[in-house]
Amino acid sequence: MTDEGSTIAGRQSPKVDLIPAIPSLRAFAVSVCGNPDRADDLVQETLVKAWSSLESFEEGTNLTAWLFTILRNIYYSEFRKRRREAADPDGEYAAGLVAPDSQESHMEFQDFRAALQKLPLDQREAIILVAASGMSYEEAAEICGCAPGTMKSRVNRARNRLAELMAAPAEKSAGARPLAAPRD
Amino acid sequence: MGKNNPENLFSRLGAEGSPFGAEKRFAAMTERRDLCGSDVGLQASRRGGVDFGDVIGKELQNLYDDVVAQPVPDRFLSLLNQLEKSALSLDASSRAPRERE
Repeated sequence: MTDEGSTIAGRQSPKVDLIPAIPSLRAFAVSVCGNPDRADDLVQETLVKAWSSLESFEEGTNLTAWLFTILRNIYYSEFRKRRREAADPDGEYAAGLVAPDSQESHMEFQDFRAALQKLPLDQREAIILVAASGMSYEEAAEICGCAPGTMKSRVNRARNRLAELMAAPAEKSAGARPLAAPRD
Repeated sequence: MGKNNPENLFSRLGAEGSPFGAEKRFAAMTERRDLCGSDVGLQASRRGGVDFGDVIGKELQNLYDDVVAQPVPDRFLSLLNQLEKSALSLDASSRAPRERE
């Protein structure tokens, strides 16, 4: 990841710096919330919020990380609200939304997505930041406001839980869709 | 040492009189550069985080990279244009922004 270009230059429009960050922002959003439409709404809110608080961005620091932090805060507050209002946690909802092409990859893809969405939010975001987006434990810890050691253990727990879920998908989601027979 | 001298290289190429010699040499040079780490490390250094090196790691990366590879949707470009426009007009009227939240 280049450091150049990830700062907001004084005179240029912030647009120039924000646009290149959008793909990562979308990827983070959709991996965390599991729903592409909702993810883009989150990205939109993040951009608006970022734009209005550009003064608080410290020049020379990582713009993408700053944006991730904003998106995360927005998601967390929505997540809490949603939890209170609806009894539908993101998992089951998200699992039915993506339609990949082939039958086989369908199952695997669905299994993985569904499994990811079953993780507790703190573990899910941890594993996405560190194992998917390529952030270091330190960077991820800063985004999530925890110690690097905490981040590390969240990632480990997430990984173990995912492995469990992937090994036995049928038990957990028997009601949601036809059984995908686990291989051995 | 003498082998790496450009003069020697040219004279050797001339002696061999064949473009294949040069190609081979070039291939050997780039290969050596790879081994020195500049290219080999690329995959690992692109991701500062962890690579589990298994199905889970790959699935996570695919999920993420698939979205990163998508073009930026128009809605965001026009959103930023809009924000820019309103920032400019706000600037012009230089009024204190209203408190929100």
